[in-house]
Amino acid sequence: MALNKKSLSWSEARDLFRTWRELNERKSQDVVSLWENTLQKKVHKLGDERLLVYEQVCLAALDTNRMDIADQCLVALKKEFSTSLRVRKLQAMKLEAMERYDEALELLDNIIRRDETNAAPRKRRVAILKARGRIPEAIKELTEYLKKFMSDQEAWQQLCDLYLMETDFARAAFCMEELLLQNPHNHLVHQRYAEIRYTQGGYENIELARAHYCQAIKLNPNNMRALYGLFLTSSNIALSPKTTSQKRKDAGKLAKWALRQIEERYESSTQVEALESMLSGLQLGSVPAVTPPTPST
Amino acid sequence: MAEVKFSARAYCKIILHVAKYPHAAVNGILLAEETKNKDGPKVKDLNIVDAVPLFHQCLHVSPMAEIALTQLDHLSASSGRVVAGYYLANENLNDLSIDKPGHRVADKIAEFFPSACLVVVDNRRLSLDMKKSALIVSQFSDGKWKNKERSSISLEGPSGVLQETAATLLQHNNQDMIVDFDNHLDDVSLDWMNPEVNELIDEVYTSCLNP
Repeated sequence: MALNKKSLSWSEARDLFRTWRELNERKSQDVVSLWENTLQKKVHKLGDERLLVYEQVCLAALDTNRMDIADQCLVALKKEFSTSLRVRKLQAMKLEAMERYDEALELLDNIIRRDETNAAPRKRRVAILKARGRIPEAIKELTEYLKKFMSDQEAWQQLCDLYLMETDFARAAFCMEELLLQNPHNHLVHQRYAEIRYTQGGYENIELARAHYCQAIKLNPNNMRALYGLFLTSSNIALSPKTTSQKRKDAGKLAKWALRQIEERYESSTQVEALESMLSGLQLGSVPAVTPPTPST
Repeated sequence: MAEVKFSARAYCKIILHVAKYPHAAVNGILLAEETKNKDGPKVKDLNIVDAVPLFHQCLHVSPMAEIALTQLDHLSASSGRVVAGYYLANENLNDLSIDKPGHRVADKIAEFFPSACLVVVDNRRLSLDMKKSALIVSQFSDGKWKNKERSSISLEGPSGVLQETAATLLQHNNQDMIVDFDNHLDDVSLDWMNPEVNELIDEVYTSCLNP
């Protein structure tokens, strides 16, 4: 694969860079090696797009600890925009990458003073706290940020992850609910919400998880995590002593349906075999929080 | 003091999995050969023969971990292996802690495999030459996780060979090949038991053994 990339022409590399920028993919190593091998020599052919490429390469270089390349890009960008806040944010990120956090913070605060509506440097402040391992402080900073920028989905997602790190499932679920309101048709949000509710545990949460797994499957019938999740939640409900007999029947049916859907998506028989034994395993014994391995004697 | 020994496959797969996702936390399961003599001496060596990479997207929720462990239990039982441990690498470069969900999974494993081990990858020790073993190992004993001395952790083969194998794999960017359970869920045609990677590791290991 690495060999293929070396033989790309500069225009193919440019198109690839463009796609990665649009999809927001984090292919830092690929970006840096393509830059070094192909694009760097042809940068004059890129026109105004070169500035975007500089920014992209700079971030990738910071991600892969290639300070030499990051510096090249920063110099080129500074020549073009001597007072730009966007370039200054990149400089702050370089300080971050070098673990000079206090200087980075100073620079970021400077940017925020110049432009109060600029969201990016505020988010970098959260990132610095996270990098320093101060998760509770990062949560506090991010909640302050979200009071001002309520529609920032990326930030809600990050706050959810931070709460999960602290195993605060109720608050993590709240963040996903915010995201659900903003994207009711995204199957991944439904799936993650269900996962959090299931992890949280308790009969009501598992029922809620099942409902959202169902919604995720409705939106994308090929979501494997949701199919497995539906199977897991349904068999849990079927086993629970709190379930009425009618509900138990329905849950059993749903679990079987999910299993059949899963089986259809596998070609090899070994996986199916494992799944069938899983069905019997789950329906015979009680289901602990993490299904344990059983050593045979 | 009982030793913990890692096979070439186990060690290299952990390293490759960590290297594939440099920006994310990863975790996985360690497998050991099943031993029949249950009444044998209490202090015995633990031989980790294989590693199964699990997740890199979200390590803090349980549903897919339950699915993976149930399947893994079935698959490993049919090949004479047992789930014997858990490994993780944190997102933060300096972080060597074990978070609560990780501990919970490891505790559960220890319930069924009393001498289970818990491995944290020291991100700072990952490099292209892989001179030092990057694993920090604790083992379950008397109801607690106890840190193992470096001297009681050994890698397969003569000293240095396995490190060289891992280094060679990284230098050739072979980390792209490894498939974890998250990849498998995104595309079920990818095999998370990694038969191709296993072959490659064996090949590289042999060539490092007889240069």
